[in-house]
Parts: sequence; C-alpha cells; structure tokens
Amino acid sequence: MIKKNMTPEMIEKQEREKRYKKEMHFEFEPLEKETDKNVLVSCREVKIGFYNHNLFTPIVKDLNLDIYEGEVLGLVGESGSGKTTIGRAIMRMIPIQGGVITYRNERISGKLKRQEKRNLKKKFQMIFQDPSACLNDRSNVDYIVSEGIRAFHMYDSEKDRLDKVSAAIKEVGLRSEHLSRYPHEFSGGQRQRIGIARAVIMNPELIIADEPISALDVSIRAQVLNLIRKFQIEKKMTVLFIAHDLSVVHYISDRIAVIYHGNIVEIAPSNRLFEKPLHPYTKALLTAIPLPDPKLEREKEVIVYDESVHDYSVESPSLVEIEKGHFVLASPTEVEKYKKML
Amino acid sequence: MENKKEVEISVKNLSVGFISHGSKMHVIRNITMDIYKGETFAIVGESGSGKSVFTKTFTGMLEENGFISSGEIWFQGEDLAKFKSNKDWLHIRGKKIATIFQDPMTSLNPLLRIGYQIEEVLRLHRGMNKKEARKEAIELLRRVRIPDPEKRIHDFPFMYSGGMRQRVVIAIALACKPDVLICDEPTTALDVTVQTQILDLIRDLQKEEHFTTIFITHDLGVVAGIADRVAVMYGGQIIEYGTVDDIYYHPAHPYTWALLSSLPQLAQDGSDLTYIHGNPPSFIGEIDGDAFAPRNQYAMKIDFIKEAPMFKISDTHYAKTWLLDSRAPKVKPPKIIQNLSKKIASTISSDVINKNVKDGDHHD
Repeated sequence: MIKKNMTPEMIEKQEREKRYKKEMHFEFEPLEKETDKNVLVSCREVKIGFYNHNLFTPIVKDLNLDIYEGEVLGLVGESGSGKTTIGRAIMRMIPIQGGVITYRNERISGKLKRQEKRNLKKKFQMIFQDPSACLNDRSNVDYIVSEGIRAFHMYDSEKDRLDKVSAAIKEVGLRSEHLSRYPHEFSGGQRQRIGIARAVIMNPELIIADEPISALDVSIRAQVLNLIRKFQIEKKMTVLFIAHDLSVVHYISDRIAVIYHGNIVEIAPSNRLFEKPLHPYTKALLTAIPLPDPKLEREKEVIVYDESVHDYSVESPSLVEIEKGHFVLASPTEVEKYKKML
Repeated sequence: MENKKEVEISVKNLSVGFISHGSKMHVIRNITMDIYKGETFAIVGESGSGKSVFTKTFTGMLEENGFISSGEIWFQGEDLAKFKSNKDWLHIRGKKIATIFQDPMTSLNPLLRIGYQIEEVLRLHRGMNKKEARKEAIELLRRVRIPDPEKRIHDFPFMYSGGMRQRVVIAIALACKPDVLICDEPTTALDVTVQTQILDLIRDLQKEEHFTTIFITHDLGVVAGIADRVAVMYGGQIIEYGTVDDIYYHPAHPYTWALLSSLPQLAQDGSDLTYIHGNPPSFIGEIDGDAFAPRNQYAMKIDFIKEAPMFKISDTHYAKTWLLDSRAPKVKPPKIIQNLSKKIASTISSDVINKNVKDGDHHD
C-alpha cells in the first residue's frame, strides 16, 4: 500500500520488505493426507553434514518431516544415526546444507535477520542429555533459570522476576529456597528438573528434549517423564523427544519416527508402530529392547537388521504412506509387500 | 537343591563405612550372601544403594576413605576382608576376580595402543613374553568378536566405537581367565542394539569359560535376560533375593514392587507413570528400622522402630520385610505388577515376539 506523502526510498523499502516476506513464506503440502492437524515445523529435503578434513560427510539425507502442533514426536535410532543432529538443526545450532526448515510456514533455516533469530530462540527451547554438564557450575539456580527471561526482558520488576522463577521451580517439584544453591548441590534427577524449569519458564512452543533421561536412574526416570508430559498437556507445548530407548518413547510420544543412518525408515502413531512394525529395521529395534520379564526374554529371538534385504539397485526408495499416518521407507515393490502385511 | 551348589564367594555380616568430613557413615550394612559357582548373580538398585561399593570390596578397590568395619568375605579359602596392602591383593585382583566398568571411555588408556593394553595384562599376570602375548591378544580380540584383530590391535582406543571399546575391556578382563567377573553397569553407556550384542557376548563367553558373573545394573529389563539369581539392594542392604522368576513373578518386598511398577512398559495410556516418592536414605547418622519405611506406602509402625529380619519364602527366595511376619496384615502386591508377562507381551507386536509363552504363575 502506497501512501500519499511517501518518498521514493520509502516505497522501495516497502517493496523490498514485501519481496522478502514472500521469499520467506513457504507453504508445503502436508506429508500426511487428509489431516486436520496444524503443522508447526516442517523439514523438506533437508541435508545435513559435516566437513571432516575438507571432506564432506553427509549425516542426514533428504529428511522430510512434519511436527504437528501440540504433539510429542519421538525420534528413535541408534547412536550415530543422526537423531541429535536433526534436533540441533531445527534449533539452528548447526547449519544445514540443503533443503528448507519452516516454522509456521516461515523459513527458519539458512540466513535470517538478527531479530528473527532472536525470536526463534524464545520459541524453541532445549533439554539436554547430561544434567551435570548442561548447567553452569558457577552460577546459582536463580540465575540459571532466569537467564532466558532476563535476556528477553520478560518481567516488569525484580519482584516479578523472582515470582516467575520461584513459580517455575515449584512446578518442577523443587522449593524456592533451592534458588540460591549451586548445581553441584543437587542430585542428577533434581538437576534435570532445573534444566526443565529453565526451558519451560520461556513458555516455548517447541521443546527439543535430547535424550533427557538416558543419564538417570529408573525411579527418577519416571518422575522426569511425568513432568515433561505434564507440561506438554498443561501448556500445550510441542515436544520433539529424542531417545534410543523405544519403551520410554512408546510411553511418552504420540508419534514415533525411526531413523537409520540418517534416513527416516518409518513414522507411525506410537501404538501402531508397536502393533504393526513394517520396516525390518524397526522390527530389529523392537526385539533389541530388553523386556523386564524373564520368560518372554528367554523365548525372545533377536532379529538382526541386514541392509542387503532391500534391493534398491533398480528402484530407489521413498517415504510412502502405507496407511493413515503410517509411513515407511520403501521401493514400489516393497510397498506392495508391506500393504499385504497389514 | 540350593545346598548342592558350590559356593564361590561367601559374604558374612559385611559392613562398609566411609569417613567424610570427619564423620563416619555406614554405606553397606550387615550383608550376608552366598554367590554360587558358575551362576549369573544380578544386583539391582537405585544409585546410592551401595551396589557398586558392595562389589568393590571383593577386589579391594574401595576409595581411600572407605573401610570394612566388620564381616568376612570368603573366597577360595581366604578372607578378603582381612587384606590390607596392595601386595595381598595382587593374586586376586584382575587375576581371579576381574571387573568391567560402566564407561569404556575411561577404563582404557587413551595414549596406549589396544594391543599394548591387553599384552600388559598377559605379561604381568601370566608371565608371557612379548611374542606369546601378542598372539594371545589377537586370539582374545577374536574371541570377543572384533573383526580383523590382526590390524585392529595396532589401533588406539579413540578409533573404536563405544561397543567395540567395551569388547576390548571384556577381552582384558578375560585375559587372566578369572573365576569371577564383576560387570558394573557394563551397558548403561551403550545404546539398545549394541547393548544386546554385549549381553549376548557375556552370556556366550560364560558358557565357554564357566566363570561366575556378578552383574550390577539398575535396568530390570537387562536383569530378566541375563541373571540366574537377583538381589535387590536398598540403603546398603540386600532387601530381597531369589531366582529371577521369584523376583519378577512373586516379588515380596514393597521396594521391589515399587521398582517393578515404575517400568515404562507397564504404564497405561494417558496415566502417569508410577514412581517411588521421596529420596533414597542418607547414610549420615543411624537409620532406625527399615530404611525404606519413609517412602513405603505399606509401612507399619514397626517398620520405623525395628529392622525386619530376613524371612524365608521358599528355598531360594528371601525377603526382608515385616509384611511377611505372621502377625502382619496380608497385603497383595499392587495390581499393576500382577500378570506381568501378559501386560508386557500386550505392548509389543506379535510379529516380533512369541506371545504364546505361558504366563508366569501368580498368586492372585
């Protein structure tokens, strides 16, 4: 819209902004057909890799993924499969080498304006694996938890800040007198709670939880899982839950994506994945979970995944929707085979 | 039946203390336990329950401020609790009782080649010369299923993946043909697929070598697959022990119930996971009565006053809880852990596991 008293420079600036907005806007067809869920983050043909002595090593190849608003998406795979890399790429902690990542149809990968980057930091928060390494040893809990709201001036007065911090710390099951203590005074489970409080106080839209419970004890594990679930339901947050333990992911996630060597091999609603795993790698992963039952465990046969069962020399595989919401990486002949298995 | 088995390690009334900031605390409190020859004995418990400290006394690897305050550990006719200097330990530690630690990253020297680290053990303990040791080291690496051992023996630890490093550690532990192998959470740092491989390896090697395995873990899934007998530890005491079937299908102690019910596999859709409220006991000062009582929803008055004795449930199964006393009210284990097999089987596709396995017999 051009107003009367605009100089040519101002008109040009407005045009430029319009063009920029158009360039930034991406609207993709959702991967899943006939869905009424809103897509929060989507990745299309994302390639991620690292330079090792000037030699490019691809880690993630052509990743296509939709994260819906308000869901918990579990990302499972063995170590080295690239699950953490995907999480970090969405957080903009590592650059991507190709493709587009969007957040509410706006591009968030590649070069961004300073202000846009800043806004993203507010909306995306992360919970890390090792609670003893991710907290600053030299600062007290008060500082650790309020660092985010300090940086974004999300409080009116010092009293307001203190109120917010103690509310957050109480929500994760700690007491406000803990605020003046230092991380080394807490146990592993409590430290992980501080990490969660630090993420939740920002009211983020997406939380990326990178193996938040691998370093914890069985009974504490359950507490932390309950906590993440509670926040996800109460605050309607979206969670990308990265883990290698399928039994934990099964409990917490709405959908599970299985990753093998940087490719998503299967995505399905979590109960469906456990009922009808289709891809041989998913099956192998399911048998690898140790079952807490002596009889079943003795009878169980562990399937070992062998890549050579796929013949991709003629047809190359792609992520195909076999049934509603259930995607498998397969070539056309395999799709037929999998459809019969349903 | 139990008496026929040969006892490998016999622990009698063992107590271990630590001195910290000038005050004494008792971390292992009066444990009596027999470990039989050739079995896999698993010790389960939260962190801080003393499971690692307990097994460290078998090899004299307690920290500087730790001491055995009373009790005996009988192993092949010697009382290990009486050993004082490192010299006494030389013929036991590493040679007869070997340990695999949790983190394969820290138990190997990053500056020495894999081959050297294995040969060192062979030369010191078995008196081999360099040539023999090299030959034996390659053989050991082949036995722990490392491909191409002739080449890989020249590599440094950082060139190996986590699972391979753990295999090397196992090779070093087996170099002296030990009678007892202590595995201190050997798979906690590894991911699921590698974990199954390592567990299979330990199981296979045990069949070939007939050593006794003491397996420390907090993962109940791992225990079900590998152990013959299980001991549950809490607050420095063994509170329940029995065969795997006893512990999984007829658990008697409220703490074992709580551990089993916090399994994520047992959570119903939409409901919270059950977890154990409160914190593990602190060892500063004396613990009156049952250490688990403050966190125990089935606790009775006596639990806070007097420690329960070991009650015998069957020939193989013992538990330390007042609930087994004839005067105590009859309490059933929580619903969530009844029919364990069926519940766990229902979470997994029948394509993957054989569901026709008969359910463990329960007393409902």
